[in-house]
Amino acid sequence: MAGQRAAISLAQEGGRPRKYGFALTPLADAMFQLLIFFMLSSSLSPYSLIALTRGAPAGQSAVLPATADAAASTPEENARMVIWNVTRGQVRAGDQTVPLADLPGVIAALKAQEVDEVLIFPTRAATVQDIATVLEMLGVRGISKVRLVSGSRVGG
Amino acid sequence: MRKARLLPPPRRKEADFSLAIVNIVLLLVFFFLITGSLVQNGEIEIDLAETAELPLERLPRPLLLIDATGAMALDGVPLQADQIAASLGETLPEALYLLADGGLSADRLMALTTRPDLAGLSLRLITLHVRSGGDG
Repeated sequence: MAGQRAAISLAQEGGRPRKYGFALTPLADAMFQLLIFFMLSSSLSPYSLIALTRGAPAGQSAVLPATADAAASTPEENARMVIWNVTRGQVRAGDQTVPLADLPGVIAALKAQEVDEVLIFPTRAATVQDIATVLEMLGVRGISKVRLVSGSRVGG
Repeated sequence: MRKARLLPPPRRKEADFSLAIVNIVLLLVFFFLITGSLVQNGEIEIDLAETAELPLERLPRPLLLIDATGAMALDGVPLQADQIAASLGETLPEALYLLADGGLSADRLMALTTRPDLAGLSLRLITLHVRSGGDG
């Protein structure tokens, strides 16, 4: 009897039980807030990474592909090595100056001569873009050891 | 005028698009969560060095911003070069990611690699991936 009374009290006057609908509008509002937050605070730009150092001793750093020996910190005696001075938009090797756009051909020639190590001295005129360009070309084209040497006092 | 005695037409139930909207917005939220990287003030205002052939990465942390004037900010907090190690905490992270302006002098960048207090820390330069000419 008591149970029947409780059931009756929950029912509306017409005798049909009240339907409690699920309100989606607050959920949609919260979703929009989240969407606006992520749209405003995130960047969709595609980035890439270039390792400048691998925890190597300060002053000498190595940009090595994953297959190379990261522990090698001194030039091997029989390794073939070239020294490049990087200036703005150019690379100087000895008495030759090569625009950065022509580096792929130079690197192919170095590979043909079995040169596997490049020492890079950025000059005062070099920018971060120049360094990134040179490191990218060397890394992508399979030069196994690239050393970036700081402290160069060579003018651009 | 005589009123019609016919019964009023049954009320048409209005279509509820709320659930569809929630679904679409949820998909958009997932898209931004997966593809985007949260950035601090100023981190998208510098002109990064550009590369075209390196693999894509997300924007990692800790992130050291160096603008064209050489001013630095670590994860949005302005600081000087000699404060970087202290700001990274007692245990240095594996790597410090450099968001350097492409026009910045390479000397400024190289100066970081010679700092004794950052020795043992892997420094990685972040570049902006652009489509190479061959990609169309």
